[in-house]
Amino acid sequence: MTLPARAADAAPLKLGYAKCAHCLPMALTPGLAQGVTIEATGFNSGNDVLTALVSKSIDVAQVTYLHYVTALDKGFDVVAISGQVNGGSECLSTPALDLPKDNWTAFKAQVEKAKAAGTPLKIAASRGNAQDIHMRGAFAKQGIDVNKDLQFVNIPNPSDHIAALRRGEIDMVCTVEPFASQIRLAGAGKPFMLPYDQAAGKLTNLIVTRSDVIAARRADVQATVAAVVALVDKLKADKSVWTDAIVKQTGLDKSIAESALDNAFPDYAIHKPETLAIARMMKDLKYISNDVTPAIDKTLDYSFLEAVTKRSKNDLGY
Amino acid sequence: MISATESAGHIAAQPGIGKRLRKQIGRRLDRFVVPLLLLLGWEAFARSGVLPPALLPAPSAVLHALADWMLGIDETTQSYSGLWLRDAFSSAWRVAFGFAIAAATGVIAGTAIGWWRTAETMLEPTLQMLRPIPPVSWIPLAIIWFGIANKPAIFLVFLGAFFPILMNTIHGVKGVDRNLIRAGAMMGASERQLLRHIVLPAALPSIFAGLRIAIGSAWMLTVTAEMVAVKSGLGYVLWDSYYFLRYDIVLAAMISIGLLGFISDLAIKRLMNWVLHWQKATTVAGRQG
Repeated sequence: MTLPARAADAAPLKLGYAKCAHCLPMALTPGLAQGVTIEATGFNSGNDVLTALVSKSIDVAQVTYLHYVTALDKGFDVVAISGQVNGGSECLSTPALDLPKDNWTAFKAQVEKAKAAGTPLKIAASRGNAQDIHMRGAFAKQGIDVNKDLQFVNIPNPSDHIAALRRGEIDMVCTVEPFASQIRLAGAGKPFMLPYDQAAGKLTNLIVTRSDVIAARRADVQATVAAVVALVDKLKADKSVWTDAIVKQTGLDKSIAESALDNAFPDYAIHKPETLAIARMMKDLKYISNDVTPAIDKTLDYSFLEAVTKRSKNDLGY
Repeated sequence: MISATESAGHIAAQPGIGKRLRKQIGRRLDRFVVPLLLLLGWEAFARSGVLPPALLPAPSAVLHALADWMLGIDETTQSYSGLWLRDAFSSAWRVAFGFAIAAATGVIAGTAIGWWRTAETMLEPTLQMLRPIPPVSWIPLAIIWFGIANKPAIFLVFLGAFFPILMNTIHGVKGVDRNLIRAGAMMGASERQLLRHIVLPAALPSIFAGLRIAIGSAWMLTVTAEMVAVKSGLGYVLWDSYYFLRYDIVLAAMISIGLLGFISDLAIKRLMNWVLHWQKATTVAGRQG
């Protein structure tokens, strides 16, 4: 009778993560886990990870806050159990625009001029990504409507951003690391701003699971959150581990990986007010159709983080 | 002139006509049996609760999304509500453009390779080397060469359609009966005349087979092609909906692509039957009607 139970306990916990610069250190989680065997799998995109989670192919997933909100909108069973890393968004303009960094006055003047000439500036992002939300929020705060004052170009794959900027087909792009660093270091674009001055702040990545996984394997989920916290502490202490993980798994140049991490903020806290702001922004943009703020209230589970860090949920972003 | 009553009586009087009519109707209905069974099975499975409805929407939910996408009935497809025609036209235009270029270049290159040894030696190794490369892997180069929006999408559709046409044309030209060419040459036909009046007509069945395979590939490639910074199209809607986990719209887009692919294939089939009407008397296709 004890044999099947043991076998079930010994089953590895399946963890999925996307292959972005900020997400890749998740591959180090199995090595930091104690009391649980984690089987980490890299996916091409956050959508693939989330789909794998809700279809029960994996047990724990690293996704963005936007994925989490989208999943709640669709009524999927997802529970947020830890943060991971934030940041990674940057808006870069074409060198031809000759736009000084963080100079909104100069940018607004160019926006007005182009709009008056009937050829609004073209701004690109990957619709539905964290960078898209960050950018729209930051622009709205400056009184610029991305859809009315600018011409929005949806380039779903961030690796295509650099070519569009190089060819002069867009005037600005709000992209994710390491592509932002790649653009900057290649001289294809000039840094304009980090779009964090808005209600959603710099939130990017979140660790989520399902309630049935928590019910069946609470101790394993707890051990996984402990591994994520250990990972975050490790990344905060020494970014070279992170750089090595990026270089090893992507083959990117070390200078690009290092530059990408200047805009990365390891953080295991789950920031509730900003999460609610993201949900409201997504509803306003019609990215989701329901008000998911009550669902967010119910599905942010701080208990694992509290147990690992011995901090209260108020200290952990509640 | 025969009146309607006389005509009806005349038909009824002919033994076997009613039976043939029933058989014909039965044959027309046969084609709906498998799709209907599949739909019923899917609906039952979706309603069983094994998977969340948002993850596997029932056919009724998909049809609802499709109806809203087409007619804008209740805006459940949000920003796509009522814009199906625009999206279908955008994709159809890209497919038609890419397919037309592929058809022209595929037939010309295939004929050249099939007919002239020099062209075969020079072109075939390169083309055969390019052929196994998946069209999706051309995306980075397509963007570098053609930029964003329609041009790279058309290029990818072209790539998907070109090789089936090329291969079938080569096969068709190489398979032409030598005796026909000998006979033409004996009658003093020039090389151009041989090509125009003997080789091409004889290769047409194979070329049309290539065109039919190619149109299917072209539609398949719309999903890949519309990943690249276009603003509309069935493939674009499919990807964009996937980013927001709208599987009902994803499935509606898949159905739309299948439907338009079927219609395009039907159009080519009709054209083929019209052009190759002379084949009817001598082939199995003619026996089947």
